[in-house]
Amino acid sequence: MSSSTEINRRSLLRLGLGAGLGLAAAPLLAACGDGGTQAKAGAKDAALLPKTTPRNIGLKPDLPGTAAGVPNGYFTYPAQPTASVKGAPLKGAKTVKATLQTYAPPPPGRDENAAWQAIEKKLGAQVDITIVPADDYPTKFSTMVAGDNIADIFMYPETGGADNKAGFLAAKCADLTPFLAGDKVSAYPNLAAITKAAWQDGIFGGRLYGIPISRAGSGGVGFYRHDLYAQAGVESLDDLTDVAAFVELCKDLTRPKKDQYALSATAINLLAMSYGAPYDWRLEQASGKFTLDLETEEFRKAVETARELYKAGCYYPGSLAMTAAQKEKYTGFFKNGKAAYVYDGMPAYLTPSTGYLDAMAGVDKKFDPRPMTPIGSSAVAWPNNLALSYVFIKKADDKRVKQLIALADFAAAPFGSEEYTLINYGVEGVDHTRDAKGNPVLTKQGTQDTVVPWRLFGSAVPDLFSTSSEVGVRHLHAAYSKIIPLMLPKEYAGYSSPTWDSKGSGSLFTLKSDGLKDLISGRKPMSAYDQLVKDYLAQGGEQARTEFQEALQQGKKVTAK
Amino acid sequence: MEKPTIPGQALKGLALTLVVAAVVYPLLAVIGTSFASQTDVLKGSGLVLWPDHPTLDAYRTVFQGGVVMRALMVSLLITVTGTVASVLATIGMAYGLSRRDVPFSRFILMAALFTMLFNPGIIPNFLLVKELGLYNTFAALVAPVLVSAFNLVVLRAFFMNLPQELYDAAKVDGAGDFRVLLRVVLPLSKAVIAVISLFYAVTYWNAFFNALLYLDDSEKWPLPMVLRTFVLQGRSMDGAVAGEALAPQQSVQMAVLVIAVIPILLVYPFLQRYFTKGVLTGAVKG
Repeated sequence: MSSSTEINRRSLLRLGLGAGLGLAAAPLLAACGDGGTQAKAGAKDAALLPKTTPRNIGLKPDLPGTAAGVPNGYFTYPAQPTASVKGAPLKGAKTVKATLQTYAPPPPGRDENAAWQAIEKKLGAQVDITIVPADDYPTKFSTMVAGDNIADIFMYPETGGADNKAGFLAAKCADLTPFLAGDKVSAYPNLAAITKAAWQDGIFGGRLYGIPISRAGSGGVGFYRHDLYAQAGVESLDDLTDVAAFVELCKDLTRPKKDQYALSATAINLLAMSYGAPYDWRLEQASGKFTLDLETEEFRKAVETARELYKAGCYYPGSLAMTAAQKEKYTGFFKNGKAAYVYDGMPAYLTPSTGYLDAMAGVDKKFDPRPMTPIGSSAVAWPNNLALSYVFIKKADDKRVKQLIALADFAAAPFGSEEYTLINYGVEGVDHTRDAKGNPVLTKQGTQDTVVPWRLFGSAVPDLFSTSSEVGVRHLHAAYSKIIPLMLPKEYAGYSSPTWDSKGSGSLFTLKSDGLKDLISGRKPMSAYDQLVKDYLAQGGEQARTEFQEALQQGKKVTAK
Repeated sequence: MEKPTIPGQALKGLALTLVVAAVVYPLLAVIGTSFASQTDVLKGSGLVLWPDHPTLDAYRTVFQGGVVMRALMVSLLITVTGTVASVLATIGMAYGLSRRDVPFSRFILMAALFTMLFNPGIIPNFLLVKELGLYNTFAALVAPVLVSAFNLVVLRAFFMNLPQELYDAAKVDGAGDFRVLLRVVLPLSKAVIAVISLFYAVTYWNAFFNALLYLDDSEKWPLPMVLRTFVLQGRSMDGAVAGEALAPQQSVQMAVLVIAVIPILLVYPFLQRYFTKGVLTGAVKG
């Protein structure tokens, strides 16, 4: 049967090719925006950093923190929270549009969310928050940027942001230097409690743009089963005098017939920190040379030890190959008693119900999970958790920028304040009730109302508190007290490398983690280690090193002047 | 015909049992886990076929706060209105393109087929939706996918396959195009329309990506988007320090999955009798 509209493949393809080329250019052009400023290597000016002033609203911690980053620990919640912000910081402001990523299911909307309503009442304005799942955030962010649709205040994605971040920030975002640098941050006392180390990564192209959602500095080195370690004769982690002792312990704890293994998933970070390997880069101040972690003898030793552990069968079968997407599975091996160690961040310890402490008590009361610390006399801790992320403010007039910084200041309210209570526990009687000790306990509605990610507008180092376990707070505080003094300075953060900014936590990280899994699992011989280093350097590592070194030299010239 | 041997029959039975098990086991595991306690999930390292401590906690959590119920309603609304709109638009377009005397029909058909070969990409689509004023509206979930080129081709081929004499007879009786479509063509096309309706309904029911791109307000999210956040919760990016995100409650994820699967599963049996006939019709036509 013939038809006047018969399909002709050739004409269809011709049409497709011509139009396809035209369309293909569109997203590229759109994505460029007007980010004309090219990112350059350079030293970050210390004068841009806001001055750190610890926040004190009159609470006395049960376990005091330190200026170096050990958080305060509390056993009870204040009966009468006090305000940490004067008045309504957004009074008279027009509606704020915000975009934040979330790690939780969506909360009930404003109309059904008592906490949201109470926070807006206290702020003095409406805040419309677009909440995006963390995994989808890079896609959403790209379309927002390309469509020139960025919110008044937004989080920057961990991966998949603009290729030229400094250019994007200069073109689209408010320069916060005039509002926050040096003593000026004192107008925002909650933000002033953020450490300089956390602010450092908010500097791009010689200006301060990012407000940190800061953390204790180190994410720790995972968790171990104290009861199993004690059965094997290790009553205290101090008994593990070196990595060799840890290896022997792991072999001892591995009993496949009992379905018990020493490790679940990776232990490379624990081993590398225990040997004293640097965090990403080591800077030798005298020579001005940057050395990649993979190039150091300490990191190589860590890989060799990890291989030895794998060969001895110490990893729970299949767990080493698991990715972040399978986190529940590999942490589950630890939680259900099949593994004696797992690498995870310390913030996951005290989380009510699903944190290690509560979840494992539900499986077996004998399980005694505790935070691990690096092993041996050469041990260091990596500054890998200075900030969860950063928030940026869209270009606007000074009045609006100040309002949005005030919103971040409100979100960064310290433990025990009225603002902190509203953000974390919602409205008393609706979202939380007080237990016998006077501690707030979330109601069912509260568990949903409080997942609105207000705390991601900005944060100082979070304090430690648990309604269910004083012992847990003590364990965590003790671990931080041991780890924070071991923490290396993040030296390279003082210098800008556009290559590192775009590839360091993206393609280079993937190359490294995949390569290490191949080596540790024995899929590749140890001789392939050198090739991994070469590939890493060839695919951007060497370029990043050159840029860091240029930045260092530039910094020295500035200082000399 | 050769009589089947007993070993042959046994092998076939075994193969079929394995195939059925491969399909049924995950479904049962999803349902079982949705009724499991957190302790059961941890002890079972993830999926639980038969929970030791069955509980409705996961369903209580899911329905608490109204997020899932609201999303369910949004999904039903989008699926029903989107399917009706898409089927109507596709029928209209397919009918027009199946007639010989429609001006520019060749160009319009080529333009529609072009979308099968080349997708404009996320950002041009986003810009178009924004410029049309559809951003953050339910219409943004329907308009960009209103007509599927594949469904259009299937339906057009079916219409072209109907005997020309039927059209001619209707015309002789004084029927216009609209009446021919309504009284002659559609009654003969129930099977194929049922099938494309199902295709559209499943597409709308499962769609989350347009909601992610075009909706700012999470109160407007359809169920797949909410389901996605439940499934992804607790994941941290590979490059980030672990521990910030909570490990998700597997039973809650599975409860949302059950709630998301059941409505669309209920539609299948009613449409299955049309399915084979409808899909095969027009499959060999260009």
